[in-house]
Amino acid sequence: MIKGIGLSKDFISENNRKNLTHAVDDVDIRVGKDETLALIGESGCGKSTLGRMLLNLIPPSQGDILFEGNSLTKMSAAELRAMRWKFQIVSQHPDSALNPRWTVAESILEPFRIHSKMTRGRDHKRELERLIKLVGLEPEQAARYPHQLSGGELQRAVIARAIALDPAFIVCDEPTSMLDVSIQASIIRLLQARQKEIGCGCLFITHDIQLAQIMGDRVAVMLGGRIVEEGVGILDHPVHPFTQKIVSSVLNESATEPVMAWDCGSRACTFLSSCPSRSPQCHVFPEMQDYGDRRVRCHLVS
Amino acid sequence: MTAIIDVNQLSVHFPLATTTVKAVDMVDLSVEARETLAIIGESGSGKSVLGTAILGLFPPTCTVSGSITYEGTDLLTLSDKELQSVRGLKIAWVPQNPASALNPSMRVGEQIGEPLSRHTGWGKERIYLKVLDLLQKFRVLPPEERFAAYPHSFSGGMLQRALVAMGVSALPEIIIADEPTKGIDVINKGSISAVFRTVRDQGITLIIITHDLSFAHDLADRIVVMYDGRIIEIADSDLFFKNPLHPYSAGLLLSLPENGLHPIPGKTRDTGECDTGCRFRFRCSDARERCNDEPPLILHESGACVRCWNYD
Repeated sequence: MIKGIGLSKDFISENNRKNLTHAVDDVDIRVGKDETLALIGESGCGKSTLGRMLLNLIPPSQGDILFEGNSLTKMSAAELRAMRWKFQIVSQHPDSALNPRWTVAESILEPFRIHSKMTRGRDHKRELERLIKLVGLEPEQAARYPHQLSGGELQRAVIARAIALDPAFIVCDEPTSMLDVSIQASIIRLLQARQKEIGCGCLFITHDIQLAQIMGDRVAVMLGGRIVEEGVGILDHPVHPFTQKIVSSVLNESATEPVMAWDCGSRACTFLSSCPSRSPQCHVFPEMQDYGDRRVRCHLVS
Repeated sequence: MTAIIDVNQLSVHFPLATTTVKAVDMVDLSVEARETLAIIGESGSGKSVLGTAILGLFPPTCTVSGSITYEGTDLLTLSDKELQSVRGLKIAWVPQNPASALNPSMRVGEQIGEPLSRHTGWGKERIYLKVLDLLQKFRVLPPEERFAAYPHSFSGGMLQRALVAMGVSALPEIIIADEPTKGIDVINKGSISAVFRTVRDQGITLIIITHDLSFAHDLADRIVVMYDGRIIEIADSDLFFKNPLHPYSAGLLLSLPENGLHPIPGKTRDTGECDTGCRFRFRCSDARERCNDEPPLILHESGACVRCWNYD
């Protein structure tokens, strides 16, 4: 349903034009209808950039995004705006995702105001009641301002806004990384239930491997701006050395060393400097190989 | 084992116009020398306030009662000046949110050396070498380059390691760390664990405030669970994760992704909303009439202490 083809994003420093960051480098990604793709990777590996790029919130430097067959990058701003209700984002920091000078109700109803043509005839008050109930907020909380709610309640409000117009695709960018474990459980359950109801696709960005395993129908592992392994059940049977490393880091926390340097943008494998089983051929980054239920970028696998 | 810190009937209350928020309410806790203690609980349970209280750091509006005994003196009776010879030198603090804990316009190395220049009277050169040594030890690499860098160029995990280096620099007896793994990804969390293990192996008493249960399990000897300003369970770490006693503790463990992500039903009530009885009774599936009276900390046969009538 949504597909990114050869997506790349380079950030260029304002001061020094030579200072280039390859945040995302030639990534193919696809999320089907009612499917959840869990995207995991270290902080700074480009997973959030990739998520935002899929919604064309950050225009890609290269590559194209196809949503239901239409290219998002080639659309005019007006056309894109008319389609925006179909894809939504739930961000990592709920406290900065809502306008601090609006009540929670005003924020939740914003999609109806923006897409007023499409939603003509729908009663805002009734819609608000419906959404508040769906996400488990108290009616009186809707009249409050964001600073009066806790992190978990804010995240519920953000979810209410995201699902307001029954979107076809939602990017959840580490929606629970700032929340307590008990609150995390209820937010994840909420997301799962609403997603099932609406039947939308979801890109679930996280660095928690256990969450990825629970949420993802498929899992993609990202390192240094590139997806190195992707498929069904890859966390149970990791093939790429980096996936093996992060899976073992959960089983045995003490055994891990952080990946010190990524060789972003170079022609070599991104995992080259930290890989336990590197060989001379790894100086040329391998192509993505398809093995049926998974895709891997590594010379060792064949 | 001897207690290094003895917290006795400590209460930290915040009087508001209509209610009083009891962030920490009648807490008794003794921390043993050389142990690693993890204080867990959800946001707002009072764990950070308890941590800062041990350092004698209080927000200006609160009222404090009880005592915190360290080396025979009650820290709460000391003046600010006297406390300064304890803070950083005897008891160090590793704050939450490393990104805002450091001065953005000061080189990281100089900040790590600050406790040394304050408490030891060493010369600049000696402090520099010591800081390089610390950076090396806590893997903030390469040390020379990192010494001269500013905080913005550090990653979150690296900043956290630098902050721990700062905490240990003057060789304190106790380190209190507030949420050291918050916002740090799983892959870098291993290195934070390793850093704290190094600290522990130096014989420093560690108090870790966290809601990261796997991190607590990995490091701690004992677990203290707080709920709504109260300690509701104290247990040995292995025992706690095998067999949590309090219904809230059991609920916390069940809400972990690996245990099936079962949320605890109900909502946290605003602190101060209920003053009598068990604070958890509104969310507890076992709640009975008796729970309208607050249970004391009951010694369980396993050696753990739990504040629940189920174990009377």
